[in-house]
Amino acid sequence: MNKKKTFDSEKLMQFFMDNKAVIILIIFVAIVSCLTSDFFTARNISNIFRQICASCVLSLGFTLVLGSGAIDLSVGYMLGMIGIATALMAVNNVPAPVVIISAVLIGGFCGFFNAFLTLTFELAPFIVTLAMGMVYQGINLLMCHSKSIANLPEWYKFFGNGKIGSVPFAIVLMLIMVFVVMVMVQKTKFGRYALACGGNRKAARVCGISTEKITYTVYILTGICVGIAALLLTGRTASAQTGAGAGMEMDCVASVVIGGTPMEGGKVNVFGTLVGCLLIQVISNSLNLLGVDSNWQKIAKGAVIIIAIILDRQGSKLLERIRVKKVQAEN
Amino acid sequence: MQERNVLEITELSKSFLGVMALNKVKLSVQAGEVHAVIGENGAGKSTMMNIIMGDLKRDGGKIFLKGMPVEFRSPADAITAGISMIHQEISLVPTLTVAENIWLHREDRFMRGPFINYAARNEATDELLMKMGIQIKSTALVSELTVAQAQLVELARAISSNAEIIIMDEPTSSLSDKEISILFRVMQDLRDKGTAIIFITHKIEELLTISDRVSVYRDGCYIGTRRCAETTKDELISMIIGRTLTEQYPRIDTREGRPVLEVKNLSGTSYRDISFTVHEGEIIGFSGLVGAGRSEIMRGIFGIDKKFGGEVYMNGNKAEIHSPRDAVQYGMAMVTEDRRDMGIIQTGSVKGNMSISTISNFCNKLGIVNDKKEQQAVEEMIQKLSVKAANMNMLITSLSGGNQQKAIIGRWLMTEPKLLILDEPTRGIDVGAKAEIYRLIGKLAEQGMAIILVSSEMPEILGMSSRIFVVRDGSIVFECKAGEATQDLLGKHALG
Repeated sequence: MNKKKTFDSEKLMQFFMDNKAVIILIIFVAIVSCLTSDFFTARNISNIFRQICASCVLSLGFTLVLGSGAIDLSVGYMLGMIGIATALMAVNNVPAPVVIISAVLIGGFCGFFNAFLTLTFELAPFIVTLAMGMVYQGINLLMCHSKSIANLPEWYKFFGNGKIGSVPFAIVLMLIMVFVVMVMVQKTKFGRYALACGGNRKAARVCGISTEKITYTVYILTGICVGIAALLLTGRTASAQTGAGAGMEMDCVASVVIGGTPMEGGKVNVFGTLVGCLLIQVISNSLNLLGVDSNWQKIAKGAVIIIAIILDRQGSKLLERIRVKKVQAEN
Repeated sequence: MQERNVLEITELSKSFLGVMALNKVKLSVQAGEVHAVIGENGAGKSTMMNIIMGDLKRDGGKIFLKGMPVEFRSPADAITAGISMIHQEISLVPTLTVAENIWLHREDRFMRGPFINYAARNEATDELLMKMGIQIKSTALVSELTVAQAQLVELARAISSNAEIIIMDEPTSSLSDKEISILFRVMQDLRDKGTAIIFITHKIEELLTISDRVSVYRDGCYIGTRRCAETTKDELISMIIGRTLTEQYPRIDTREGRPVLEVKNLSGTSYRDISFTVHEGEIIGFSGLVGAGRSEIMRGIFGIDKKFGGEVYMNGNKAEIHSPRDAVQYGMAMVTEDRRDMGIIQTGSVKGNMSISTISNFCNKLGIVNDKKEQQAVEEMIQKLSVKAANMNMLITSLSGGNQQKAIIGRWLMTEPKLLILDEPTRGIDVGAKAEIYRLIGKLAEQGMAIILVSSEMPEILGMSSRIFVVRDGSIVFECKAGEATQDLLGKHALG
C-alpha cells in the first residue's frame, strides 16, 4: 500500500518535471487572456509563432549541444555572420540554391571548428565558443562596414514572409526541424550516443562509443541549425544588420532550460525547447499588449527563467528523495 | 604512558543504502601513543575516520573525547575540538603558497589590524618546516611541490594546529624512504609531547616499527587490538584476512581451451613488463592491494589509458587497441571498478544503459533504433541475470547497487564478448547479490568465456579463480594454480 503510493508520487512528479514549461505557459496565457482581449486573436497568435521561428531553430541546435554535455556560446554571432554573408551573396546575384547551401555549409564548418578547437587542444567548450563568438562579431563588422544590407531579393524574403497555402513557410520549416531533431534524439543511434556522452562521457567511452566523433557531429549539426536560423531571421527582417543575432545565445539558454533540458547534459526535451521559445515570446508579446515598458519586460523574462530553474532544481531534489526512499523501502 | 583514553569509540555503526559499512566497531586511543588501524580495503577504516571528523553522520554508537560524548557536524567542529586529519588525497589548495596553506583559516595570530602580516607568517612557517627537517620554502606554491612534499606540508599543517589527536590516512603511500624517516621522527616527537596519533596503513612492517598498539578491522567489524611489542606480522595478517569462506562460491566445471588473450611485456604509467595468458573457460584472479596497479593494467589492456609498450594478442592475432572502442571490436568487455565514474550513465534508463554498446544491432540503415527489437533483447538479458527492476524504462540510478552492477554486466554480455574483465565486480554490493554474480561468472566460464577477475577480497579470488596472479608495485610478483593458493600465501606476496 505504502509502496504503491510512493511509486505514484514519483510518476506524478516526473510528469510535472517533464512538462513544467507547458504548465507555466498555460498559466501565463490564462492570466494574460483575462487581462486583455487582444491576446487571443488569430493575428497575434500567428505573429507569436512567426517570431519564434529563427530562435526556435537556433535553440534546437543548442538543445543537442547541451544534451551531449557541451555548450556553444558562439551561436548568436555565428547567426549574425551567416546572415550577413548570405545577404551579401544574395544582393550580388548569387543564385538562391548556392546561397542556401552556403548558409548550411558555413554553419557546419563553424561548428566543426568549435569541436576541433575543444578536442584537439583539450579546452573548455565554454571559453572556446565564447571567444569564437567574439571572432564572428568582428567578422560581422568587417563584412558590412557597420551598415545594414537591405534590398534582398524576393526569394530570400520568402524565408521570412512566404506562405505555403495559408501557413507561413517559416513555421512549416520550424515544425519540420523540431520533428527531425526529435526523431534524431529519441529514435536514432546517434541520439543515444550523444545523450550517453552528456550523461557520463567516461562511461560512454568505456562502452565503446567514439566520443570525439559524437562531439564533432553535435557541433556540426548545431552549426547547420544556425545556418537555417540565419536564413529565417534575415528573411523576416528583410535586411542583414551587424547587431543581428547578438545575445540570442542567452535566449537559447533560457528557452532550452525552461523547456526541461538541464545544463548538465544527458537529457533533452526537444518539444520543451519549442515550448520554452513560445513562453519567452509570449511574455514579451503580452507585456507589449499590456503596454508595459520594454525594460520591465527584460526583468520579467529574467524572473521567469529564475523561477523555471528553481522549480527544476527543487523538483529534482524532491524526486531524488522519493527515489532514495523507494530504494530503502525495497531493501 | 598514561592510561587515559583521549578518544573512545563504542558501538559505532553506519550503513549506506542497506549495505553495512560499520557494524558496532570500537576504538580507544590513549594520549601519547601511536595507534595503528589496519584492515583490508572495505574494512571500514575510512568510514570510521570520516565519522570521527564529522564528514559523515553515524547511524548508531558513541564517540567520547576525553570522556565527554561528542558529535561533530563538520570537519571544522572536529578541528576546533583538537582533532586533525591528514588525508590520503592531498587536500591543499594548489594555487596558494605553502605558508598560506598551512595557516589557512587560522590567520588570526598574524593579523595586524585588518591585514595579514605576511613576513611574520612566512617566518613562522619556515621555522616550523625547519624544525621538522623539511626543506621546502614557505613561499613556494603548492602546485610546484612533488606529491611527497605536499604530503609533508599537510603534516606540518596538522602539527601547527597543536591538535591533541592527529589522524593519518595512509600517509606513507606516496613517500620515499627519506621522507618516511622524516615522518616517523615527527610522529615520535609528537608522541613524546603527548599527542595521540591514529595511523592508518597497509604496510604491516612499517606499523610494527612505529606504533604502540594496533587495532584490526575486517568487513566493517572490529577484530581486536594488540600491543605491537607482543604481536607478530603473521598474527596480524591472519587477523586481517583470516575469515572463513562465508560467501557461496559455485563449483565451476570448466575445460580449458585455446588462448584468448595474450599480453606480452605490457608497460604503462604505474605498471611495467606485464605478461600473461588467459584461455577459454578460465577465470584468472588478479589479487593485490588497491593501488598496486591491477586496475591500471586492465585499463591499459582495454584502451582506457595509454600504454607505453608491449603487445596484446586476441585469439592469436595482434590487437591494436587505442581506445575502448577498439577493444570492444576485438571482443573484449570490461566492467570497470568505479561504477559511478565509468560504469553507469546516470541520466539514462535501465534499458538505455544496457543496450548502449549493442545499439547498432537494433538499427536500420538510417540509424533509427527498432524499439521492439531493443526491448526484446534487453528483456531477455534482464530475465537471464534476474535484474530486479520494476520496469526497464526507470532511471538506472533508482536500482540498488547490486542490480546496477548486474545491468552493467548485462550490457557487456549483450556484446557476446570472448573476454570479460571484471574489476571489483562485487564492491558495495550486498551478500545475496554477490552470490548471484559469482554464480553468473561461473556459468559464463563454463560456456567458454575467458574471464579476468580483479578483486581486493581474497576469499573471492580464492573461491572463483582457476589461476591467480598477485600484483605488487606494478608487477606480477606471484603466480599459482587455484589449489595451491591460501590466504596467507597471497597476503604475504601482496604485502611484500
